[in-house]
Amino acid sequence: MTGQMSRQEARRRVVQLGTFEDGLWDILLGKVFILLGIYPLTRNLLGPVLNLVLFLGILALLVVAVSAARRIFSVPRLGLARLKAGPLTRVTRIALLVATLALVLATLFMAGTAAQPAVAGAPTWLGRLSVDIFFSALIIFIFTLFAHFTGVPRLHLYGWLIGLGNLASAALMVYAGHTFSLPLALAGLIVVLTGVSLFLRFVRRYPVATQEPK
Amino acid sequence: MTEPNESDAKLHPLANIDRIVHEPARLMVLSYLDAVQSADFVFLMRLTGLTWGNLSSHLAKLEEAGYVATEKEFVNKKPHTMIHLTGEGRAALQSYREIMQRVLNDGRPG
Repeated sequence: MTGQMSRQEARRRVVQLGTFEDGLWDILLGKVFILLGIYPLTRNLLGPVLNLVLFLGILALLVVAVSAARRIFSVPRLGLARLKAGPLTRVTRIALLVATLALVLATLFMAGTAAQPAVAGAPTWLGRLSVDIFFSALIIFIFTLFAHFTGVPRLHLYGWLIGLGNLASAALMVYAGHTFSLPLALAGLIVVLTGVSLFLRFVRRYPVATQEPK
Repeated sequence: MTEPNESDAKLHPLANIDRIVHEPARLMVLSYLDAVQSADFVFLMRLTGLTWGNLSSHLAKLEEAGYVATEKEFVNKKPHTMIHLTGEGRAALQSYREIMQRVLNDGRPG
């Protein structure tokens, strides 16, 4: 049992250092939610199809930019590790896949509901909020799962921040007639700022190291 | 000449413990390498918090014992050395874990 625990702790530490130490993952995540926050606004301007294409294009660019930043800034400071497909990484991959699917579904849902009225007979606000309550709970659940398996406590905060931001955005759209998801974009901005501060701390804490020992 | 008592018999495996693995810094290096497929020198340095010289000397001992192996490859067109645990190293770590577990569990008073 002790051996098993220490092995799990070692894996967790490797994932924490290799993925979350430099703050780049946080920056990417926050930007995705900022994009989702302004998604309804740009959809009104560009139309659903062009907007989705633009969203996916920017998302792809962000992924490439973060990968490049990791190669330029993180690898020379932190080194390189190849993870083994152990139970933790399998769960992490599944969580990532579920999160991505939820994001895509949320995006498609947001694209679809603007053009469609609520379900017949049900109050409009309930029709809109029930789906958003479901998505918010799903977001919080995924982040909680992710935080538990990686041992990164700030992911709990991100889950609540983004989940409640999503719900608040839906409520503001229904009650106040907002045309874009301001609370969700603000939640994304907080995540980006956290990522930037983590990145600055990372650059200060870890100087560039020579890779080859003599 | 005294006869070994029951407690001595339970602690006996410690006499044969692998001292290459038993050293805390090397045990840490082996445990982390067991958790990854491979890692480079800098990543191990960051993970363990060991200094350059210290890690280098421990890795040399582990390599000499055949517990870790290095592999040269190119990353961004630059030579890069990745370190990984060998089958022998994995077996030594597993055996060390088993011995320590047995001693710590069975040697408990009461």
